[in-house]
Amino acid sequence: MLNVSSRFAGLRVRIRSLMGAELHDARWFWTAVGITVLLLALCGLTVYVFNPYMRYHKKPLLSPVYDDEYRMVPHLLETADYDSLVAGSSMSLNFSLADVRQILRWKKPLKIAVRGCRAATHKLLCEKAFKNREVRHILTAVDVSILAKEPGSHYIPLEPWLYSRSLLHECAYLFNADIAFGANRDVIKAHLDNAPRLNPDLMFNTDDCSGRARYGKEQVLKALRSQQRSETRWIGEMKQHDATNLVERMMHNFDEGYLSLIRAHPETEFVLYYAPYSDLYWGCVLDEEMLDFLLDIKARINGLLHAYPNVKIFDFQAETAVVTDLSNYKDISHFSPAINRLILERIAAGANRYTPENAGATAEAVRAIARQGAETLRQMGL
Amino acid sequence: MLFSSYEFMLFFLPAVLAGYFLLGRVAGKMAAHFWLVAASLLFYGWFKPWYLWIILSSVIVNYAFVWKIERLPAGGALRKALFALGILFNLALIGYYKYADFLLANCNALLKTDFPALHVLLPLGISFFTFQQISCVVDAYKGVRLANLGFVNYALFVTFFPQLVAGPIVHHQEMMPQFDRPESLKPDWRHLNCGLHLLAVGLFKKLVIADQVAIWAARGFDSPDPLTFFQAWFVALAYMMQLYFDFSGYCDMAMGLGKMFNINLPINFNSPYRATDIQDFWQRWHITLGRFMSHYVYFPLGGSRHGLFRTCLNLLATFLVSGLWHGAGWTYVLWGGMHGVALVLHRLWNAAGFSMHRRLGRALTFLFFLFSLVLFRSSTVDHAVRIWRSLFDFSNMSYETIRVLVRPDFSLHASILLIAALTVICLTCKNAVKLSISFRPTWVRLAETVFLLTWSILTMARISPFIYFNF
Repeated sequence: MLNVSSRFAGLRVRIRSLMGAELHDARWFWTAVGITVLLLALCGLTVYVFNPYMRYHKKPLLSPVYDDEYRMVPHLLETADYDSLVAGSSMSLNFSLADVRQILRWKKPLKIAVRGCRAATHKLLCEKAFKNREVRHILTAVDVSILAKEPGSHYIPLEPWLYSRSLLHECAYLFNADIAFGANRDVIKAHLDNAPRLNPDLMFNTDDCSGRARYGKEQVLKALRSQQRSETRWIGEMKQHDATNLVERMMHNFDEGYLSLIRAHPETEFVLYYAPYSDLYWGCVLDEEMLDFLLDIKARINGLLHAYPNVKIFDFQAETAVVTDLSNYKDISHFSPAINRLILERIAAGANRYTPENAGATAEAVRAIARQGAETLRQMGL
Repeated sequence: MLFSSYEFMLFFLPAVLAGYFLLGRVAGKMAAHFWLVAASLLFYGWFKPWYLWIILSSVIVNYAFVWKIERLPAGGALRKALFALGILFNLALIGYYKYADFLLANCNALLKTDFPALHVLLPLGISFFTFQQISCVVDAYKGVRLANLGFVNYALFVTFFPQLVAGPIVHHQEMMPQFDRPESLKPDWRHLNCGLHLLAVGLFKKLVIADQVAIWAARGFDSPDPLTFFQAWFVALAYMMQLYFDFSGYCDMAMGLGKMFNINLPINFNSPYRATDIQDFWQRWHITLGRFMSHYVYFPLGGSRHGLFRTCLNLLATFLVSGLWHGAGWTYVLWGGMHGVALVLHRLWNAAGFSMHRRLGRALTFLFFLFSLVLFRSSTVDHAVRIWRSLFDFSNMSYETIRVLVRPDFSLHASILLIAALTVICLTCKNAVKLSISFRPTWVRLAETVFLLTWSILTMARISPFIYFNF
C-alpha cells in the first residue's frame, strides 16, 4: 500500500517537474506555433474530407445532411450536377426532387429554395446557378408580400465567406469550429441514426427531414396565436406609412429579383407559381385592409410577365378545396408536401394556368376566400 | 484589420514580424521602422482605404506643428499661436468626425433650427491617435524634449499598429526611446514567447468570452419588453463582463503584439473589478486614458492645488470630458458625470476622515460601476431608467425568465454559471498582464497558449445562430 502511494507521489513529482520544466526559448516558440498550425491543419482537413456543406467536391466521405439551405445552397450551386432549379421561399422547400423528375420530367433538378427568400437572395442564387451551369427550367414561388422587404436585404445575414470564394474565405471555412465540430458532428450523427435528412431528393424539406411538422387546425391556431399575425401586420403598417413608395419598392424588388433574370435568360423556362396560402392567411390580410393592395401588386406583376414567352404562371391561391382545409397546413401559409406534389401535378397537366382572361375571376375567388377566412377568425376570437 | 481576423493572424502578423527583424538585420533601423509604418498604414487602411487620408494628414500636420514649435523660442508669440493652432486642428478633426452630428442635433433642439445631420462616418481609433498627438503638441510647447523626432519615428509612434485602433494611449516619452534601442531590432525569444501567450489570452477573452456574453447583453438591452428582475441583473452583469473581457482582451493582444516587437506598451487594465473604491477603480480601469485626462485636463484646470471645492469641480469637469470622449451622446456625458460625482463624494468622504471596510468598498464600487454601465450601454436615458427600474422590480422573481435571453446556444443554468464564474474570475484571479510578468516557457504555458490560440482562431468566423421563424 505504502509502495503504491509512494509510487503515485513519485509520479506526481515527475509530472509536476515535467510540466514546470522550462524549454529553450526558441524551441518553446516554434513548438507553440507548430502545434497550433498542426491543429488548425487537422481541423481544416476534417472539414475538407467531411465536406458537410458540399463546398469542395461532389462526393464527401459521408453523404451530407441536407438541412441548412442557407449554408449548403451556395456550395451545391458550384459542385452539384443540375440542369433545372426549384427556387423561391419556404413554399418550395417541401417539393420532392424525385417528384420533380417524375412529374415535370426535368432531368437533373436542384433545390435552391431558402426560407423567407427575398428578391435579392433569389437573384443572387439564380445568377450563381446561371454562372455555373446551363439552366433549362426554374420553378419558383412568388410571395408578393415578401417583395415589400428592404431592397437588397436577406432574411438572415449571409456570411460572406460562405457566399464568395477567396483565400481568406477559404480560411474562414476550413478553420472553423462551427463546421469542424458542429456540422461534421451532425453528419456523423445523421448517419448513425440513418436520418431521412440524408436523402438528397428531400433536401431542406421542412417536414419529413425534421420530423417536427404537424398539420391540422390545432397546429394552425397555435401558430396564429403565437406570432403569425405579425407577418401580415407589418406590411399593413408599412402601407399606412407610405403606400406610394411601397408599391415602387415592391415592383423594384420584383424587377430586380425576377424580371431581370427572365430578361437575361430567354432560353430558360421560368415556371412561376402563386402558392396556396390558407383562407386564414387571406382573412388576416383582409383584416389589415391589405387585400386589394396585394391583389393589385399581383395584377401588375402578371401584367409585366405576360410579355415574356419564356414564362408560365400558375396560380393556386383560389384553390378552394386546398386553402379552406386546415388539415393541409401547419400554420396559416405553410402546407404539407402532399400539396407540393399536387402543385407539380397541376403544372404538368397545364391546370391552374394564369391567363389575362381568368385573372379577374381568380381575384374574385381570392376575395371570397378572404371573407370566409376573416369570418372564421372572428368566430374563433382571433 | 482586426487582431481577431484570419488576415491578421495567418498572414499579416507573421509577415510583418519576419520583415521587421529581417530588415532590422540587413538594412538597419530606419528601414525596419519604415516597414512598420507601412505595415501599420496597411493595417489601418484595411478597414476603409479612405481612412488613410485622415490619419496621414493628421500625422503630417501635427508633425509640422511639433517640429516648428520645438524650434521656436519659449514664450514667443508665434510659438503660442502655433500651439493654439495645433490644438485647434486636433479638436476640429475629432470634433468634425466624432461630434458634428451630436452638436447639430443639440443645436437643432436648443435653437429650434433645422440643420440636417452630416452622417459622417467615424474613422476608427481617431480618439486615440488624436489624443496621442495632442500630448505631443502640448509637450513640445511646454519644452519637453521629444526624443529623436524624425518624421518616420513620429509616424511610427502614432501609427504603431498594436495600439493604433483602441489604445492603450501611449506617450512619446515611453515609446520613442524603445524604438531607438538597437536590441529592439533583434528577435528576443523571451519577448516573443510572452507576447504570443498574451496575444492568445487576449484573443480568447475577446472571441470566446466577450463575444458570447455580448449576445446575451444585446438581447436584453435591445428587448422592447421590460425586463424582469433576474433578466435585468443577468443582462447588466453580462454587459459588465463583455466590456471588461472585450476591452482588456484587446489590450492584452496589443501588449502581446508590442512585446513581440520588443516594445512594452503600458498596462491599461489592472483587475479593475477588484477596486476597493472609485478612485482605486480609475487607477485600474483604462489606466492610460485616466493618465491622459489627469495630465492634459485635470492638472491644467488646477488639479487639487486650489482647495477642496476647486478640486471637486475639476474632478467633475474632467470626468464630463472623459464621458464625452467615450461617445458623442448625452448618455456618455451623464455616465462621465456619474463617475465625477462618485469621485467627488469619495474625496469628501476621505476629507471628512471616514473609512470603509475593504470588502464593502469593493462591493459598492462593483455595484456602482454596474449601475453606471446601464446608462453607458443604453440608447437613451429613458431606456437606462427602464432597466434600472427592472433591477428593483420584484413583481416577477422567476429566474427562468433568463432562458429567453440565452437560448438556443446555452442552457439556463450553464449561462448563469458562466456569468457567475466570470465574475468570480474578475474578482479573485490574477490578470493576464500580471501573469505575463512571471512568464516562464514551460510545458504548461505552451499547452495553454496552443489551446487558447487554436480555439480562438477556430471561432473567428462563426455561423450565426439563427432562430428560424417557427412555421
